[in-house]
Amino acid sequence: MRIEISRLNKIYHGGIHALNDADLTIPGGMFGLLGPNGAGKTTLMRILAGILRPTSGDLYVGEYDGNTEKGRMAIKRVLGYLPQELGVYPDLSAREFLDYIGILKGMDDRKSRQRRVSELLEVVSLTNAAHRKLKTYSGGMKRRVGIAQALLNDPKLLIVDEPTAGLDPEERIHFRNLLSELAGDRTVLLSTHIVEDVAQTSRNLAIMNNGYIIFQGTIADLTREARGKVWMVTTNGTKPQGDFTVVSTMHMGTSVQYRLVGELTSPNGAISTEPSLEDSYVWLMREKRTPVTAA
Amino acid sequence: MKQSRILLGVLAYEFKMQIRRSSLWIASIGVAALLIRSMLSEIIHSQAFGLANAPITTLVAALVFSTNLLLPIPLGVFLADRLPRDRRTRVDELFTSMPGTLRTRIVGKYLGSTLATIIPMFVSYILLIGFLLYQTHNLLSIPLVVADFVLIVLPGLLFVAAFSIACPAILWVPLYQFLFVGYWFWGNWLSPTRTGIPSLSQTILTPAGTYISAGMLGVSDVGLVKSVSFWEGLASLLLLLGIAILVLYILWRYLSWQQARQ
Repeated sequence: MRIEISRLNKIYHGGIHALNDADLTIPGGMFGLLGPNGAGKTTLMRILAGILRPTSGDLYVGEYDGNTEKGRMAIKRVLGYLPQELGVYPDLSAREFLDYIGILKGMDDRKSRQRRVSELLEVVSLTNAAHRKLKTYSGGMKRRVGIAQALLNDPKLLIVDEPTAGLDPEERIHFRNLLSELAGDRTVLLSTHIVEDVAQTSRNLAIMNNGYIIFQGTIADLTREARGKVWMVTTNGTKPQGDFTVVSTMHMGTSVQYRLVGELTSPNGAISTEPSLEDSYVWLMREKRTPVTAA
Repeated sequence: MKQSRILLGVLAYEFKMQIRRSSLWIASIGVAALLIRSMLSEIIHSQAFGLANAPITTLVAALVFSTNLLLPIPLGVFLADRLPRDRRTRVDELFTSMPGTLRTRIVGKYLGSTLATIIPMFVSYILLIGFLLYQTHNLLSIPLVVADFVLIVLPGLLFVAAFSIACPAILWVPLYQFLFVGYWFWGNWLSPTRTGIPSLSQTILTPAGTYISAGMLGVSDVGLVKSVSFWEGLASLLLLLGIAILVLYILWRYLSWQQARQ
């Protein structure tokens, strides 16, 4: 399901510009949306999910116009949404909560709804805890309930906002793999500020900052742009000086190895190295203040 | 996709979540026990309400009316947190992304949670039936209590429930609960003719059912200074229900407006 966004703006009360003339095309499959906190990612997600109305601009999900009530309702029917902070009724069990969500998603048939709930509880490994009240669940378990509720209606479009925040490494990996598997026959929009999550799951991505989409393309496009801007410098402990960002610092016994992103004016002893997605992201956030699109 | 099916589902879950609250049961049964102990025996044995030799229909109506002066207080108090709870638990964002409309959710919440809150009250009325059977040995009191519950009690409850669901959209819940209890005593118990303080009690808008019991069921003296016709009783009933619907409509428009301006 293809998403087309053009000249999308969102201005909150008080004149806060959360989105500025956002142009974005999201093809099918997994799509990563990266950006620092406050970049406008959640606003964009909420607009796509029909929770917020844009101030201006166009938004199409497949053939549905997100600017009309009819279009928004049609989008909601094919949507699975996992918000940044999942709300649950603490006194319901996971099974009850998912059943309730199924009802709100318009799954009329009780038996098939309950069957689907059981399937998804199995998928997210919560079958054994399905009858426990949600107030007894850990953060990770609640995130799993969140992904289960998003998948209940077998959505064509899945929007997940910061899904791995607060998860331990094992759960994060499990979650990422699950999202990648789901992306096979649907559009999955993964919004995050964790670069690794996008690196491990998405081929296509967009990067947002201050309400602008400052990059869209493939991971390969982005790393190509940062080529020649990433350096390894080994010193006896003296921190290199210059206009660059230190991405990592590694103590190697008597020496210290720095990984730097930026322009080196005198790259004596510095070794140019192949940029990772994280390096490219850092470079972009440093250098690019205006929108760019990969060729 | 039918909103009516979603409405039934919301109703069922709101009912389930509300009926499980032990504090609701404790408060309702406690108030009922207090009433039965302190008021009813006195009413039946005394000349109050002119009921000593009253027919069973009037007696039952008077008793139901009397209990209705206190029992709706737990209802108003326990419904007040239903809407803010959705904001507090952050489920409202999730629900807004789903095809079930805001209107459906409001009506489902109203009906489901009100129905659940009425159940402990109704159990209290069953206690009342037992008490009446013990006092009167008249089996006719059973259907009469049920009928009077529907006629006298229910319209006022639906009226109060609509305000208790809607007002916390703009008021802090404990403040609303405090104001509601104050309103209940002011608008039902305070006699303007005796105290000189203006009040909604003894008017067509009294949710405790003064006009309905006097006009439609012939309870001749429920503190009213004038006689009430059947039509005035009916008008009171319809007005209470009409205002409840209006309040829910305003709530829907207000929340829609809030959503749109976010």
